[in-house]
Amino acid sequence: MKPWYQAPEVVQAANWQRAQIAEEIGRADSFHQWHQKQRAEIEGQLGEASRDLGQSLLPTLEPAAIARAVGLTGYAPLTHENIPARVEAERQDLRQKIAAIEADRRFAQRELLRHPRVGSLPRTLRELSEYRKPWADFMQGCSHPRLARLIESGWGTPQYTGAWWRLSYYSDRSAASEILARFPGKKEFGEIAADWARAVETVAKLDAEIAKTQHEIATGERMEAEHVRLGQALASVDARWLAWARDRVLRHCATSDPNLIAQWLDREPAMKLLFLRTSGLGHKLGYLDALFQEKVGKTVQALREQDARYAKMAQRYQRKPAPMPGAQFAKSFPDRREKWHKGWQKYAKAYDRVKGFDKWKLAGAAVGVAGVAGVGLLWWDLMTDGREAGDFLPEVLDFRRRHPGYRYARPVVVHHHHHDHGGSDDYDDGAGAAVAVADNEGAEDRDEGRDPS
Amino acid sequence: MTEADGCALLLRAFTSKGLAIQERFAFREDGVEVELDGWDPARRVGYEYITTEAGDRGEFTAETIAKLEARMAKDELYVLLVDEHDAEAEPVLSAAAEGFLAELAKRGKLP
Repeated sequence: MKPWYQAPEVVQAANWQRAQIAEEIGRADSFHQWHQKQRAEIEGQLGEASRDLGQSLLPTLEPAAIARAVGLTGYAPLTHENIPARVEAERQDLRQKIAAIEADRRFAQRELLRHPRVGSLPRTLRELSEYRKPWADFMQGCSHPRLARLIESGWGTPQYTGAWWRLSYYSDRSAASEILARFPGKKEFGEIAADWARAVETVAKLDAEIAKTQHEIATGERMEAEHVRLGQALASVDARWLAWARDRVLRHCATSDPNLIAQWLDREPAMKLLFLRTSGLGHKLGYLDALFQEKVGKTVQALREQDARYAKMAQRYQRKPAPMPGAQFAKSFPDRREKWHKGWQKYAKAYDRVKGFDKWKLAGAAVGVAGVAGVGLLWWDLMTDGREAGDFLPEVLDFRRRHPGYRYARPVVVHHHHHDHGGSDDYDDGAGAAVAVADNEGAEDRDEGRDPS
Repeated sequence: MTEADGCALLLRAFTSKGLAIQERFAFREDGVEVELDGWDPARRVGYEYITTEAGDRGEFTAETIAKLEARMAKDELYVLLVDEHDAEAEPVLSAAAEGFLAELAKRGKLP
């Protein structure tokens, strides 16, 4: 280390730091892209798992099926909602509305009334348009900027209010001649004025008729569209209510303590695995988002702040060159690459652990009566095998607060009768609370630091 | 079209028919006191180009115009009244001047 560093050396060092920071931000960007890709994949898995669980929990809206779902999940409101009666009420309502439309002449005689070629209303519309055309053509032929004034002032009639010593009189005369010349059969503008009055009246009447007919057509068309909509609603009434009810049950499962739900589901081990998969995927998604934000989002923010400080420093030493003491130089420009690298490695390891977790059966062993140290399942610990503190997760902090003596211990999966395949769980595995052979899932990591507290 | 352009056009048209037009003529008759843009006192024929810019609307009030028009209806005098809003283009004013002078000729009021 030199005793002093000249200003250009300081500027160079600051710029070098900035280049390193930019490289790290680039790395963080690639983590961001990777995270987005991963979360899209997990969202897909979660959607599929939710569908499977919903279908298993509530296959139909039969009272017995509803009672079973309530029994399995503890979601009592499902019974109180009186869903079968509400489905029936909606079905009746839709049927009545459909019947009312079908009884309406405007719908019943739709072909007769609105068939584009032979329907009476389109035909009326065509006829009205035909009647209107010559009048409209005449009015179009009269078109002139001064026409309204000529009509209003009564040009060509004894009522004309102009006088020959006013310029406007000659403009009126000229305009009237121009218009008259367009109608060889007419001798006086007064004839045109009279025809104009008749045309205005006739066109107004025909336009009102046309509007009325168009309104009738539009009303009928709306009625037909409503009939289609109601028909579709009637056809889907059961499916819609079933989807709605499943959504309610799934929401309940997702927002309740997984230990509690898993205990409820103990009676149906296969369903319990479906639930654990859904709950686990939901937690996984939340954990990865939080992990990304904590380790990447915050790091990027810190890097940007650091970059701004170096940019300011470089500017200052360029503007006012002064030497920097060696000790300050060393403190200002440490080589952080190794530290960053380790940080990313740590992040990637934790991320991969959570992302790669798919041992839902293991979760089954951690919940309920045979749970971990008697306190139940903490997905975070299970997914990281207790190797990540997870202090940035409110859920983890809350769990530890509620269970002060809690220490994570890897749960043990036991097999009933048949042989386990190892690796990922099979959802048709009926593994429950039997006692037998310990599964070696994740055994390779077992001896590493387990207690993150 | 400005008032000056309009008056120049009218002066040419009226004098071409033999009228002895006096510009800015102080007309004082029968309780009407106005300055006409052009007036032939002998033939009692003239013109007035009414514009807001020239302050004509204060002078040529509805009452004044009504008095002048009443006398024109009795063939006592003839003033072509041009409102600037009606005379937007030269051909319009030109055609009006010709029409007015033709009417006077028909009535035997031109030299």
